[in-house]
Amino acid sequence: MQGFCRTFLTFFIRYSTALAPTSSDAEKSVKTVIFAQQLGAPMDRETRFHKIGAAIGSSPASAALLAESARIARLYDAELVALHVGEQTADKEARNLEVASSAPRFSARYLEGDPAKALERAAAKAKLDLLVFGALERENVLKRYAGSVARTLMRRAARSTLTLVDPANRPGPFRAVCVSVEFDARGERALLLAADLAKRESVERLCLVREIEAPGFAVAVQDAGSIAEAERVREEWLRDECEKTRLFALEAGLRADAFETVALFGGKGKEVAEYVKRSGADLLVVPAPARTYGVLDRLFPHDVERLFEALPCSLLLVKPT
Amino acid sequence: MGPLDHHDVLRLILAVAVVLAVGKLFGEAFRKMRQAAVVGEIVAGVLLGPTLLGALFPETFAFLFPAEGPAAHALDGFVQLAVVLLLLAVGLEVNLGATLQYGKAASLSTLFGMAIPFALGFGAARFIPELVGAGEFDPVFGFYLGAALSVSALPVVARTLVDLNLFKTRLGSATVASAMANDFVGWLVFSVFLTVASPDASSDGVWWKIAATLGFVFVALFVARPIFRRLLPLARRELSWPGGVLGAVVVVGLIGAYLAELAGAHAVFGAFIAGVALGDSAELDERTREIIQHFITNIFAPLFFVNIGLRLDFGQAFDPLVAVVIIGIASFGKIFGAGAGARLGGFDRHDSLAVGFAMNSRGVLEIVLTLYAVRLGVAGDSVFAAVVTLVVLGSVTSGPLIRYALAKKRKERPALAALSPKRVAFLGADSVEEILRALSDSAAPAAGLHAQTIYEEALRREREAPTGLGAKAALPHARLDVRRPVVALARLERGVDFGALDGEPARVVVFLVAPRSKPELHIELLAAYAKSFADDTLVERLLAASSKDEFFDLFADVCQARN
Repeated sequence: MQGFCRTFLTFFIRYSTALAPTSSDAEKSVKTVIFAQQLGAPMDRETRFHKIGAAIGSSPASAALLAESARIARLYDAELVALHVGEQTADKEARNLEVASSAPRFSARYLEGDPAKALERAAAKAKLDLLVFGALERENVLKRYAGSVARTLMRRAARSTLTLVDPANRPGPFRAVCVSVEFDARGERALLLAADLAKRESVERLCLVREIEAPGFAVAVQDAGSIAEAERVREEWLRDECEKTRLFALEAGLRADAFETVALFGGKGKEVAEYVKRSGADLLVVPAPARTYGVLDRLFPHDVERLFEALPCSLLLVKPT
Repeated sequence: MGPLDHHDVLRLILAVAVVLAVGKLFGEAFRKMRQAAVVGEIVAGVLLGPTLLGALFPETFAFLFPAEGPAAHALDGFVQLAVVLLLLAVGLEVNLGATLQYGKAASLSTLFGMAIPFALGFGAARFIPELVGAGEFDPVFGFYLGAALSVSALPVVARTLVDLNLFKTRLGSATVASAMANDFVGWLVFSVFLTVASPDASSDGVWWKIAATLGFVFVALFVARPIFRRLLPLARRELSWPGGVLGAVVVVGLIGAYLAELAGAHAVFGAFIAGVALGDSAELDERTREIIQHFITNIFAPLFFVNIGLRLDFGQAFDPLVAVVIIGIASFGKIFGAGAGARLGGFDRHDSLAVGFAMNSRGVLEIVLTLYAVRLGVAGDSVFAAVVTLVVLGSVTSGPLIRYALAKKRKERPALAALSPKRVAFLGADSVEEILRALSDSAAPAAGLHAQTIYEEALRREREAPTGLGAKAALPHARLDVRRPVVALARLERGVDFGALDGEPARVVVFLVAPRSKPELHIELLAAYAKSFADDTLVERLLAASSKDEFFDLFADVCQARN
């Protein structure tokens, strides 16, 4: 195992010396800009958002959400569409225009009916590739089972969604981004998108989190007779996953010194939520599940459903294009 | 029953001490032989029981384990408590969310893995009752036999998978998820069985009791479980760890058992469901679970399993014909059913067979079910002896059988399947470009691509970041539109600089062409081959190989051993 780690470490440290920052970079803010320039994630079309929707109402929180959406639209030079659930009035129009004036291109639609369904329909019609909305940090029991608008959209929307937690008090830019890593095509897209966003935002920290869930492991431990042995097996798994995560990121085109990796053992979704809270990250990027989650997944929550419950920070759920 | 006098207390203390000591001794001995501890504990019970100790030293046996009297009742009370806590521990590990995650394979494996042995067991009780230990057809016995043959043992399955390094694989995860679902359904069936088999069961009463049982499950899973999810972090923060949390969990389990009895279900079922309600929460972290498992199963499991042997005169009760028939239909039904379910769920034939063998591990549930069946007069001692034998055999054989099922599969593992003795070259090249061109030519036919396409992508990748591993090895690679990964190996006459951090020129090159659409496979393969080079002596041994065949065999062997 030590030999394996040594091999990987030498292999990937090599990446960090491959391209050094230029002298002009050194004149700028050392930590963030050099970091951003060394990210190296390809500016691929697939990692950009071109048309962003903001789901808003008439509350003060909605104004903050719209302002934050305008900021994100500026980052991507994207068109912003405000999807206002409620009656169209001159006041609302003026207010929305004022708040979103900084977006490169802006329009508003006014929707009626069930908010979740109306938003989904409008987002599909407008061909949005990112839908932004706000959410409470925690929801009560009834909302958890019945499903709030935010949760419904996260589960069912056919596009990526960005759930902003408390945008009025936590405006951007994002400073620390965590990515939940899956070793598949969805995970690769989420990682590239996160790296691209991190570069645009000049974040201070990009952390790749790999979770290992092993239900039944405690029972195996009990039968094996040794907690120390279980600890050893767990540590070995964590080291393996950490190195694979690093490899995955480097193969995706990220620079070795542009990110850190951490592997966590425990309930998927729950562990990353706890880690994000501890580390103070303000955005978590997660690949959307391969299938649509239904009632059973809510009754017996696992991975992404646990995140929906805990919502440790703003959450970007990346759907495939 | 009167109070325990001084003599009774001493006998009880001594009996518990002997049971624990001998049970732990045999359990640990079997563990050292890489077998399930439960097997050792059952063997200990058989030896301490009428089969051996009772036959050779009847007075000692009667002194330690009286058949009647306050001490006997008190010991029985300990055993009842042991089984309740054991089931609490089993329930803690059931993760119903995991079954959903591995949906198709786990669900189908559970469905067929229970339905087929159940049907076979019930059918045997119907058509050949004398061969399964019954005089004539009794539907209640048929129900019991079907249920007993259809369940698996999660701890044995889990332990076997860890030992075989399969726990974290898709096969391991789906098998564990299936075993969990199996446990859950099995205990539901057990509860229904007890209701049906109860001496005072009337047709109306049975349906009410079944409804009450289901109501208990509903309340536990959908009302109590969310409450526990909120309370567990509080307990973790406010109570001492692990003692406080352990105590809280045990109290919840015992209250669950009590409430289940009040509701008309059974205490052991209540403890199991309480365990599921608690354990399904991600808030109960891994360390806490392990400690709870260790505490309960190291003290209470031996009490329970040894007690099984104490009740049974194996020599008299064992009927070889009954045992063979029961073990035969149980094993066939389980292996075939679970295996067929896994195959329908998308696993290949080797993995499906491995799932079938894994699910044939037996344990607590069969024994508890049979114990209650014997107590209720539904099943006889010959059936009990057969089921105990089934548990022992199933646990002992599951590991070797899984290895057998996967032996051929190991050779088909992607890391090994990508290798071929036809793609080994001994090169005199002096540059990275020459080597990549030669290896691209070698890999092209198997990859189904033009050599130039492979070469250009490999070179582009190499220029992005060099692939020297260090210690004279290199791992250049390319992701292209290929169906399967292809690997070409090369030994270099002279070292070539692949940019390794240690500055060592490479003498051994592993060139990988991986499917572009499968990034996870790409990562697994890179990790697998890099892991092979963690063996410091590998490169020197490869350089000393006298032929391409020897070179290939050596690399393949190390790759297999390391992965």
